[in-house]
Order: sequence, then structure tokens, then C-alpha cells
Amino acid sequence: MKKAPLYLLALFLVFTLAAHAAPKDDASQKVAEAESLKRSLGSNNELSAFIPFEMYSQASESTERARSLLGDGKYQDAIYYAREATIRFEIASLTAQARSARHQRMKLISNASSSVITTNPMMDAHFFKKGDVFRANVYDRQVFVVKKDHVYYTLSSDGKERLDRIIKVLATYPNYKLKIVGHTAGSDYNDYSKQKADIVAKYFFRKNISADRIEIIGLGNKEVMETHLGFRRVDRVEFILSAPR
Amino acid sequence: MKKHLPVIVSLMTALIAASILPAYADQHKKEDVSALIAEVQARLDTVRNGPSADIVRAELSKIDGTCALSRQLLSGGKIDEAYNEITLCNLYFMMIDARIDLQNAVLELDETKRNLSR
Repeated sequence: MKKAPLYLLALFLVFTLAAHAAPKDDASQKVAEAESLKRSLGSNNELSAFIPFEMYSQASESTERARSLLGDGKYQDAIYYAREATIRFEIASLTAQARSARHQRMKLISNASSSVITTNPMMDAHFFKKGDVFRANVYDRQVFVVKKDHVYYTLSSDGKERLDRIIKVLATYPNYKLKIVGHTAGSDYNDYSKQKADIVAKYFFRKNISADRIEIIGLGNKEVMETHLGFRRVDRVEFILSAPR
Repeated sequence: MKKHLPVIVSLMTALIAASILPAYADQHKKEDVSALIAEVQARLDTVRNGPSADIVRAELSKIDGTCALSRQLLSGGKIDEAYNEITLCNLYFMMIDARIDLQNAVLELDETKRNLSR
């Protein structure tokens, strides 16, 4: 009877240790899993260029937090953050794979169109048939002057060359009508999208394209386009060519 | 030793109670977490009946498991833990979107390869 409190104390210690050992093992395993995913994703040369930065950095942050909580003995919290990190790394990996596939596709299309020497002005101007119309996109940086990473809304010499190819299409198909649609990636301050379309249209008018054939539209950031990073809002001017009805 | 017995026993009872009971009150309300679980369940049913259910089966079963665990924790009175579990479901839904996007990108790549090889 004298030793009863000691037995009770020993029983309590065994109970406490057993209760803490299981979550500790589980937490260590989960944190190790997250860290291994981080390493494998970081060392994947094929995907590293396509990993979404925000998702990856949030996952890395959660992994570090889980590791530190594990050190502090807060196993349940460590498990939660490690699980969160694992899911985020998996999302980052899936997104990177999708971006990589899109990048490959864009590369194939661009190689195919540049390798074919053609007398077809439609192909030279990169018009693609979509539904009943032909569409071509020209990025702001391809058509306007860029100085120190800033786009000035004045046509560059390269840009004029690109527009000349579209003018050639209009000359080849005199009955076709063209919509010039300005798009912005961010907010459409000062109606920039419309202003861009206007600048391009004025160049067309100077090249004797009738104003009846041209429609000028500013859509702002309402429409997305497919890029190798998925569907994105891009600063661009879109040309939509339609046959007479 | 005998005279210390009540002190030791009460001390151990206090320690056991401290290790079992939460150190602070739950930050979330039971009704809020319940509503979140119901919301996740409804979203889950929509995805399950959608056209992409087959390709995201793994994620759907993970959400199912997380929902069940969250419900279990909630009925056991562990409201904050239930809340943490259910918030993970949002990430699983993001994973579903990423999986579907990957599927579409791969299909488009295959189609382009087929078209260009003609």
C-alpha cells in the first residue's frame, strides 16, 4: 500500500508517453512527406520553370512552420500544416504540368506556322479560323514602342511590319470586314483598350483601307486568351476577320 | 508517504485533466462549422455529379474522408479541430480544378500533335 502512489505515478508516466508517442510519429512522417515533395518538385528541371510561385511559396512556408511546431512538441498543429503543405505542393505540381503541356502546344503551333513558307497571307498574318471568323492576336510589345519595360502607345517599326501583313490580307480579300479589338491585362484606365485599337485603325486608314470595313472596339480586361500559362488577360490587340454574309 | 497520497493523487488528476481538456476555448462556433461542412458537402455533390467526376475520384474520396472526420470531431466537441479539417477541403477543391485543367491541357496538346502530323 505504501508504494501505491509510486505505481500510480509510473502508470501516469506510461500513459502520457504512450499518448504523445503516436502523434509525434505521425507528425514526423507527415512533415517528412511534405519536405520530400518540396525537394522533388524543386529539383524537377522540366517543371521548375512552370511552378506557380505563390502556391509553392505558401507550401514552403507551411512546411517550415510544421517543422518548427514539431520541434516545439505541438504535434497536432504540425500535422495540420504538413498536410496543408502537401496538398499545396500537389496543386503546384499539377498546375506546373498543365502549364508545361500548354507551353509545348504553343511551341508546336509556332514552329509549324514559322517553318511553312507560304504565299498565303492569312498564315503570314497568323490568322486562325475559329468558328465563322479568323482571329489573330498581336501583343502590345510586338506592335508598340517599348522602352525600359514601359509600353508607349506609338507603333514600332516591327509593329508596322506586322500590321502590313494584316493589310495584305485585307487587300487579298476585299469583301472581308475587320474588327480591331483592344484588350488590357489590368484595369482599362482612360479607355486604353479603345485607344490602342484606334492607333492601329488609323495606320490602316493611312494605308488606304476603307473605314467602312473596320470596326474599332475596346474590351478592357473582359476577355481572356489562351497562353502557355493557361487562360490569362493579356495586353494585346486582336483582329477578327469575317467574311461577307 | 501515506500523508502525501491525497496531494499526489490530486496533482495527477489535475495533470491528466490538463492534458485532455483544451487549454483555451474554441475560437469557432459549432453552428458555423456545421454550415461549412454542409457547404462543402453540397459542393462535393455538384462535382460528383459533374462531367469530370471520373478524373478526380481520388480527390473526391479525400474530401469525403475529411468531411467525415470533421463531422466526427464536431460531434466530439472539438470545434476548432473540425474547423481546421474542413478548411483543408477548400485546398482539395483547388486540386480538383488543377487536375481538370491538366487533363484539358494534355488533351489539347494531343489534339494539336494529331492535327500537325496529318
